Amino acid sequence: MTWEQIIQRFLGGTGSKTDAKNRLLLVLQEDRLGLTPKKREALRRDILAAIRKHIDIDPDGFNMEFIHHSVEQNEMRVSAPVQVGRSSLSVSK
Amino acid sequence: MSGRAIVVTSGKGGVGKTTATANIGLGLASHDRKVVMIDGDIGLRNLDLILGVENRVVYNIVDVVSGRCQPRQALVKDKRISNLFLIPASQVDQKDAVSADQMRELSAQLKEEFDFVLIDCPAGIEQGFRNAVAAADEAIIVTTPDVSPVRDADRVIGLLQSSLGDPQLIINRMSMAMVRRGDMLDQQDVLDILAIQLLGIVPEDEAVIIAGNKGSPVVLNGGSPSGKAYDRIVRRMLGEEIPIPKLNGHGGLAQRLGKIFFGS
Repeated sequence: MTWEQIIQRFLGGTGSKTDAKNRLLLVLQEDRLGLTPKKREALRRDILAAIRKHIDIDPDGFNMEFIHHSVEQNEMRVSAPVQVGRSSLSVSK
Repeated sequence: MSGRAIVVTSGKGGVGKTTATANIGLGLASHDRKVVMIDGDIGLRNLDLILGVENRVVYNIVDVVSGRCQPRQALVKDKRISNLFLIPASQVDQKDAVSADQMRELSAQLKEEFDFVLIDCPAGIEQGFRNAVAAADEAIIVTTPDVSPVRDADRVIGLLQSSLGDPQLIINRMSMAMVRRGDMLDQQDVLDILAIQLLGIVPEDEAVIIAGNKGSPVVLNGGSPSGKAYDRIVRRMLGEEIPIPKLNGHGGLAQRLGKIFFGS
């Protein structure tokens, strides 16, 4: 909690505007991109499938999110934990 | 003469479009501009009531575009300011009783004679909205600092992008106390989200309800905070440089106390 939020609580508020702003930014990104929940899920599935064609990742750890930096600058970020262990390739003698 | 045709719109209903139109119209007229307001909300006539001229409505916009009367006959003249007129909506017709072309033509005719043609847009983004927008050269978007009106305002701004230039924003019903507590989006938050030019902020004010009760918009009552806000908005529209008073959390009590205690 930031000092500003602490003081807002002290003044009897809940600081709920932060929720409002974050929720709006998220929903507006989807509105502006024309990204319906269906399209969003299809995109998620396709990206996951594309990655899994090349490396083995856990589908449950896969995450796709949109991040708002400014009106002009937004980011789509996909992330997934990757296990990097030495592969036990057998060497022919 | 070619006046400015401005649509007042919002997407969401109930945010104060009609109140804003009435106050801006009266304000512009009291600064000696010749103003006509068009109530574009066919089937839900209200601008006459807010203006307090409901007893003098004879013809309406549907009568005008269907040729049942001359535009001049439908103009309701304001009792308080001689250079202010209203073309009322019809209360009985359907939304599609007027077409976009007819609105465009009417607006062009009125611009010949008036400095300002203000169009009060119906809520929503259907035919009535398209008609009102077709008649305009500029747009004023009204929102309140709440999640759904801001979302709808964003949608409307997107729809206007192709047809009208940069719209200007009025944030209505801002509560200083809630902004200070961090429980209401402040002006910077709304601008971060909508990224359009701010025309003004109207504070939450009981005087607006009383003004509605009496049919005497707040801009006529120079003492009320909302009336003063509308007067500033009108003067900005006329080209005066009037800074927008800071009505946001930053620089508010929370931050001032924070500076005292934490020095940041």
